[in-house]
Amino acid sequence: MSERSENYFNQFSGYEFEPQRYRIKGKNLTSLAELLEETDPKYYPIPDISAEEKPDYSKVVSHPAYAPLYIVPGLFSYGGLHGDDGEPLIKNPGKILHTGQTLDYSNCVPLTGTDKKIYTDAKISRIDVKEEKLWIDISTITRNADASKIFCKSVMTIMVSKGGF
Amino acid sequence: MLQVNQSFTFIDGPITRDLIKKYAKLNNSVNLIHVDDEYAEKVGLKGVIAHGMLIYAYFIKHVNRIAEVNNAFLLNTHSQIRGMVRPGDWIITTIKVSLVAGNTISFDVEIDSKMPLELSKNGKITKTYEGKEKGWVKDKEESGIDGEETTDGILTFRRWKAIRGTAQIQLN
Repeated sequence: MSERSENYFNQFSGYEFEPQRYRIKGKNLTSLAELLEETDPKYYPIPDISAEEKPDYSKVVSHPAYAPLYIVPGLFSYGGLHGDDGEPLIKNPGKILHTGQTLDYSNCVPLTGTDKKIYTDAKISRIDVKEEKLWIDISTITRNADASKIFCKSVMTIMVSKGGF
Repeated sequence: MLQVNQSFTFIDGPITRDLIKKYAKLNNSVNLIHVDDEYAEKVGLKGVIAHGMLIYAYFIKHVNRIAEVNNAFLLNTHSQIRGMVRPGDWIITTIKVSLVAGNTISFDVEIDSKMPLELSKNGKITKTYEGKEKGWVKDKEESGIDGEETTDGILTFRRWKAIRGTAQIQLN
């Protein structure tokens, strides 16, 4: 069991992280669709092998399964939080498990190959210790630069096992 | 029209190391437990495991497909990662309609991993799979061991929960 009291973790509740920037590469959008054997041409247009010009990904729509690829990598930077005692929140990142993921596309627009840079705002929406494990929910909203488009809202649940916090 | 208790099953796989590596490249994975067998063994995993989000991608793919063929769009998905998926595993996705409320359809979704262990014919083992060789079946998973007739003999496998979740779609 951690030597920290359960109250120690309250200081992190509601913490807002710096927005994470992610660069959309059209090729990656189609690569995921290909990997999933997704045949819908809006996700995976049949490549024109006779074309000499560079492929045009502007009309490619991101498959909904693409969302974790731009949301989850932020997890690794979120682990660097420190408490008011100067100690890291996560003492051993090897003890982190990503145990749950909610993706909410309501009132969102599809991401396409024209959306070059997207930003994910994230905050800790829940943090508590249960059965000697630290549970953290990180709520995120992924948007374009001026937030005129929302692409996905999510909640990422991570569990840090004993010895990791 | 979708109805409560209507159920869909999809089988994908087998998951391969190449597929896991491709997914790792897409998400710039820095976690070696997915791509480096030696490292994964060092940390006690007996070999690499697939990303939970790769398996979740199949969940999303199938719910999204159901949405599209029903002239609907995907509203949300929720997953809890319950177990590991290994190279060689098949993944079986079961999607069941749990509620129809106006234009919103809710589903319960489960993904099981099916790990081949050995193949036998006339009482003789003709092929042993990595899951058996590397002892990937945990004690608690032994109740998931079963067998089935195939054209090549009796396949012994372990079936276990990988993901449990829910999803909603909205009819246009």
